[in-house]
This record gives sequence, C-alpha cells and structure tokens, in this order.
Amino acid sequence: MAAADAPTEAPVHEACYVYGVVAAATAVDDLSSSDGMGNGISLIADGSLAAVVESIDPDRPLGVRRDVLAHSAVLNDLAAQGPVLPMRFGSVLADETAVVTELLRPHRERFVTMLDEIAGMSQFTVRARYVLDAVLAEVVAQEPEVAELRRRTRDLPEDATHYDRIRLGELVAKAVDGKREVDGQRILEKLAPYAADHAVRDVSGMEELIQASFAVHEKRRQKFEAAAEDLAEEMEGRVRMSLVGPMALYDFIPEE
Amino acid sequence: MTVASSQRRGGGYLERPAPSGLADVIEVILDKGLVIDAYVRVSLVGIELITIDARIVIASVDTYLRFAEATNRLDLYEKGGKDLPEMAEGVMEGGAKGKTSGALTGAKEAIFGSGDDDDDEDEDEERERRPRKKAASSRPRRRERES
Repeated sequence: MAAADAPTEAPVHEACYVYGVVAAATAVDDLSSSDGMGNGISLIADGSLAAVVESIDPDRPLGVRRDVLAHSAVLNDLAAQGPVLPMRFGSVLADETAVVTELLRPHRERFVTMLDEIAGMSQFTVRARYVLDAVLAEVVAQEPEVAELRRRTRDLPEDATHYDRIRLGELVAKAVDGKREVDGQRILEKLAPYAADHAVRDVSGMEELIQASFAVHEKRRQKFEAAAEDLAEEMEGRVRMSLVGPMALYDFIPEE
Repeated sequence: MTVASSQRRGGGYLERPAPSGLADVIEVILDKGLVIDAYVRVSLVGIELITIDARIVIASVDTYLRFAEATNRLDLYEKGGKDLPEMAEGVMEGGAKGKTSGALTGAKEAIFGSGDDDDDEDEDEERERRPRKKAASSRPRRRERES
C-alpha cells in the first residue's frame, strides 16, 4: 500500500516507526503477514524509494521483547523479497511527511546506490562455541604446566591453593585464547571465499569461539551453506556451530 | 518467507536456528542499521543495558578461577578412573554455570519481562547457556511453564 503522494496530517499522538528502506519497485506483497509493533505496516514511496513504516504511539517506550523481535522479523521478511536497508532499531520520525522530507529525499542518492550494491545479497551469521570440556582436555594434554597445576590443586581445598588456581586459570585462559585465534582463522578461511564481505564481532565468555557475519550473494548461498556444514562436521565434538540466516544485511550498512 | 524453523540440513552437524529467538535477534540488530539525524525522541528501554551486559565477561581473577574450576573438574581418567571428589564436583557444575550466566539472564528478564508470550527466548537461552548434556534435565521445567 503506497500512501505516497498525499501524506496525511498525523495526529499528535502518533509517530512513524521506520523499519527500513526498499526500492519502490520491489514487490513488497507480504507485509500484512508480518507481525509489527504498532497499527499496521505500510509503505511510503517517494520516487524510486520507499520506506517501510508503521504508526506507533510515541509515548510508549520501545524496546520490550516484542518490539525487538518485530523489528527483526519485519526486516527479515523484507529481505526475503528484495534488497532492504535496515534502519537502526528505534528509528522514529514525526509523521509520514517527515519520512519523505527528512529521510528519503535528503539521502536519495546514497540509498539508491546502496540498494543497488546489496541486490541479491543477504546476511548469514555464524556463531561457534567450544565444547568446553573437550577443549580444556586438549589444553591439559598440551600444556605440561597446566597438567601439573591441575594435579596440585584439584584435590586440595580452594583456600590452600588460591594462587595456584589463579595461575592455572590464567594459563588455561591464554591457551584457549590461542586456540580461538587458530580455530577462528580456520572458520574465516573456509567461509569468506563464498561471501562478498564479512565482519567479525567481539565475543566474550569462556565458551565463545567466534561470531562472524557474512554478506552472501544468492548465487553462492548454497556453496556457503555447504561449506558451513562441512566446517561444523570437521569440528564436531569440540565446537558447536550455528548458522542464522538469511537475514537483512544488518552488519554491512556503512556508517555515514 | 525466510523464517525457516529450526531444522537440520545436510549432515546435520550445523545448527540452523530461526532468527527469531530473542538472544540471537538482540545480537544481530543492536547498534546496527542506518542512522538518521532527525528522530523523534522516544524512550528506548534497556538497550544500553543489554549492550553492556553482552560484554560483561572480562579477563579477571574471577574468569581465571572459573577456568581453573572447569579444568579441575574435567574427568580425564588419568589415574585409571575417576575419583569420588571429582564426581561430587560434577554434580555442582550446574550450580556454578547458573551463577556465571545469572547476571546476563537476570538483566534480560528485567528488561523484556520473563512471563511474555512465546517460548523462543527460553529455548534460545537453554541452548545457549547450558552444555548439551544439561538439556535433558532442564526440559521438565520448561514443560511445566508451558502447561
């Protein structure tokens, strides 16, 4: 539904939540089935661009679980139908007029270029986590000092071995960091060839190995997914891998 | 529609969760996407908090002690079989895990509410924060909540 040319005066208690920007020509036919966060999702078109919006009550704080999920679900539905530029979660404009005058028109050229660039692409995110016990066993086997400290501390009370335990933990943490480096590199080497771009995110936590997003073109999607499956099989037993996607290209929208 | 339900393809070693679980979604969309400079101000709940929480685990004495604990409770059959103290420690494993992930889970629940509609979140966190072998024992609790 394109409400484009005659933007209506929005009542004061409503504002326009913007999910993302798409090409106006893109057939966005499936919006009604997307579960949004307000009163119904619609398109506001201006020239070759269109914003995907929903009227919301600006007094209601955004950010509850349902809103976050809705933002993601709507964008992923859009991404399945064609290129979409996701807006950051929580982007709200005063009304439909503002969507045209403050978002679409001022950035037209940039948006059109970006939409061209991402045509056919979607994002996949790989998350790999260690099976901690398996990796710790490797460390004990590979590092004599770890094995020795472990022998010395594990049957004694914690109080009596506090500093040895810290030393043990430090050595283990460093060893796991080393493994993270090697295994993370392996994962990137195996998957990056099938992606146009990739981005690695900071991870924290003992079990985390790597989290990386890949911009994958439709034509290479099968190969990419097969490579990920191969990797998961190769690392089975010591690493658990999950692959989420296809999604909108959240991680590949350049900052201005 | 992209939203494929959790399924296994090919060899089945790779987990393919639908991108609809809260934890996955938060990680994917937070701080991502186009920013324009003409927003209406609406209050955003909790977003800052989650961002900080996600990076809460830092290298510290605490972390080292947790690594040490995890290493010490490994069952490596070195001396021809496991000894009793080790088995006892194994039982405590669940408790320690709970403690380390408690802050994160707690904050999320405070922000998003825990009694909310569907069960994505629960499944997601179950999958994420517990070692596989714990999954079976945690299931009854989930069923209780669903019924």
